[in-house]
Amino acid sequence: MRRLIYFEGKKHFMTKPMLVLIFIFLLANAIKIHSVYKEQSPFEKLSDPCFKEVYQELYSKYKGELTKEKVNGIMDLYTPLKEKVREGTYSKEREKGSMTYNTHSDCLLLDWCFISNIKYETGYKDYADSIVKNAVSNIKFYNKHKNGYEARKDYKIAKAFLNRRLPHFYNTDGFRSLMYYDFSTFIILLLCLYGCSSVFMKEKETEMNLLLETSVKGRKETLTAKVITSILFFVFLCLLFSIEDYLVFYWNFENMDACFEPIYMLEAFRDTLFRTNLLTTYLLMVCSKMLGVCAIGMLFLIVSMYGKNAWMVILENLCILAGLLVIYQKFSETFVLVNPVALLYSREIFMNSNFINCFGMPIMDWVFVYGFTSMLLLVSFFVLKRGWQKG
Amino acid sequence: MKIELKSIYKKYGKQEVLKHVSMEFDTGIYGLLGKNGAGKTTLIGILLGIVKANSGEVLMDGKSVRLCQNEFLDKIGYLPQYPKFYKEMRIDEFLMYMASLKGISKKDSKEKVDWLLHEVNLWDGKKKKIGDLSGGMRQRLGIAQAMLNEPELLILDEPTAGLDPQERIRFRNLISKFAKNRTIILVTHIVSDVEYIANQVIIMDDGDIVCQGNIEQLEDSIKGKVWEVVRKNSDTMDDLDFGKVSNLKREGENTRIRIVSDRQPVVDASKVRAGLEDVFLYHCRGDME
Repeated sequence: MRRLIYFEGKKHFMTKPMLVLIFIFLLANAIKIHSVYKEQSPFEKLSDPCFKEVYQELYSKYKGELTKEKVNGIMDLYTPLKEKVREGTYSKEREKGSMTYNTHSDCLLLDWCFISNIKYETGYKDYADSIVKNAVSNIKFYNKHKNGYEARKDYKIAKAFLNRRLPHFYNTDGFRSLMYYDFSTFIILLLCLYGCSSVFMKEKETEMNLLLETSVKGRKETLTAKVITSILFFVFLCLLFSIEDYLVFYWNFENMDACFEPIYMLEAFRDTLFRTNLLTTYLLMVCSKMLGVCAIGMLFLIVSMYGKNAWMVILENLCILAGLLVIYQKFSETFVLVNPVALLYSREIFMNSNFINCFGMPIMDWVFVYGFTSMLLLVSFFVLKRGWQKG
Repeated sequence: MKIELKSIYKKYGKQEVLKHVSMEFDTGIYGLLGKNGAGKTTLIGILLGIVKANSGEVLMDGKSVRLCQNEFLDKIGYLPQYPKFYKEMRIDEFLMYMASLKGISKKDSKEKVDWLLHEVNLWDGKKKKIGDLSGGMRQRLGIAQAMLNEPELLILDEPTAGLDPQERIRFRNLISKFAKNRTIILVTHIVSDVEYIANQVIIMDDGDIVCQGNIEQLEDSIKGKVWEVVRKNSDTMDDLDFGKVSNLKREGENTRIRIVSDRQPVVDASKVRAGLEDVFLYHCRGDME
C-alpha cells in the first residue's frame, strides 16, 4: 500500500506543474501577508521609524504580568497626554521631551498599542464574572420552571466563564491578523481543485483503468491509495500554508509573545466558550481547516471520477467551490452546520459558539459541523468506491 | 492453466455482440482473429472481468473466476489495445509502479524490471519518458508490464497495430520468446500476425466463432475452394465476383487474381493452396474489395 500511495502521489501531486504552482502560491501568500501587515500594523500608520523604537522600549517594560504598578505607570504616562490632546494644547510641530514626535503621536502610540488592550484585559475579569453571575441566576430560574435544557445550557456557560482572568499583557496584533487571514485557505482550495481533477480522470484519459482493473492491487487497493494520497496532499497543503502563515506573520509583526495566553485575550473572542490558548486555538483552526478541505476535496474527487475530460472536471469543480462559498456567505445562518466551508473559516465557530438542543442536551454547534463533515467524508468515500467498482 | 468460456452472451442495447460463445484455452499461442466489431475485444473484456456478460461463465481450471478473482488476476498479463500509459513517467518507474499494482515485492520488482528491460530491449532507454517513446517501444513496454508477474495467461489486444514491419517482426519474436509454458491469446484483425506464431486460430464473426483449429486444419477446411485466374490487364473482368477476391497482383501485362469460392468461379480458374487469409475471407462475410 505504501508503494501505491507513493506512486499515486507521484502521478497526481508531485508533478512539475504542481510543484511550480505551490512555489508561486507560497510566494504570493507571503506577499499578501506583508500587505496585510502594512495595512494593519500601527507602525505603518505612524511612519516615523522612531515609533517602533519607542514602542519596543515601552513594550519590554510593560509586557508580562499585568501588575497594579504597571497599570498605574502606563496610565500616569497616558492620562496627561490624553488631557492635552483633548484640550488641544499641544504643538503640531516636533516637541522637545516627546517620546516620538509630539504629544499627539505619543498619545496615539500609547492608545493603539497599550491602553486599549490593557483596559480590555483589566476589565475582562468583571465581564466574565458578570456572565457567570447571570448564568447562575438563570440556572436557578430555569430549575424552578423545570426547563432542564436551558438550565444545562447556562451551567455550561457558567463553567466556561468561571474564574476567567487576563493577568498578562502581550502584543496580540500578529495573532489578531493571523486569525482573520483567509487568503491561504483560498490558495489551498485552488491547489486541491487542480490536483484532484486528475486523480481519476488521468486513468480514463490514458486508458490505464483497463490495466488497473486487471491487476491484483488495481481495484480496492488503488482506490484506497488514491483517497489516502489525496487526503495526505490536502493535509500537507494545510500544514504547509498554515506554517507559512504563522512564520510570515511572526516575521512581519516581530512577535507572537501571546501564544500561551487564553484565546479570549483577543477582544473578538471575548464570548468564546473555549478556554484554550492562542496557539492551541490556531492549531485547532488548522485542524478544522484540514477536515473542511478534505471534505471539499472528496467532492472534487467524485467529480474527477464521473467527469468527461480534465478541463470539464476543473470547471465543474470550480462551480462546486463557488457554490459552497456563496451558500456559506449568503445563507450562513441556515446552512452553516451542513457546509464544510464553515470549517475553513472556523474562527466564527470559535468566536460565537452556540448551543443546539439535541434531545434535551445542549451540544455546541461545532460538534455538529465536525460530525456532518466527517459523515460527508465517509459518504464521499462510499460514492467513490461504488463509482470505481462500476468502472 | 486451462481457461474455459462457457456460453458467453452479451448485448449492448438491442445489439447482440456475443452469441453464446464457448471456447477453451490451454498452453500455446492462440490467435483470435476477426474483423473490427466482430466481438473480440468484448470477449476478452469479459474474460478479464472488465466487461460484464449478460450470461455465461469464465472458468479457470474448472473454478469460476468470479469466485477466485485475485488468484485469476495474479495469473494473467494484459496488454490493451493502443496503450498510452502515463506519458510523464519514466520507463523503469512505470514498470516499478505496475509491479506494485501486481503485488510484487519491492526487491523482486527491481530484479524483474531489470530482466524484462533487457528482454524487451529497453534497457538503454529505461530513463526515457513514456511520452518520448515510439509506437514500437511503447508496445514493448506494454508487453514488459504484462510479463511482470510471469503470467500463465498473456492476453495481447491488437499488439502490432500501428507498428512498422520491422517492429512488427521484433514484436512477434518477443511473443514467441515468452510463449514457453504459457497460454497467449493474440487478439488481432491482422492475419499475418497469427499466421507465423499461433498454434491455434479462432476466427470470430458477428459475435460468434466461425471456425477454429491449427493453421493446417483451417487451410485444409477450405481445400479446393481457393482459385487463381490470370488475366491480361486489358481484358474485361466483368465475369468475376470481386466480393470473394482475396488478392490482385499485377505481373507485367497480366493480373493474377486469387478468388475464394465454393465453386469454380470462371472456366479458366485453377485450384491453389489456401492460406490463412483465404480462410479468414471465406468465413467472414462482408465486402473484402
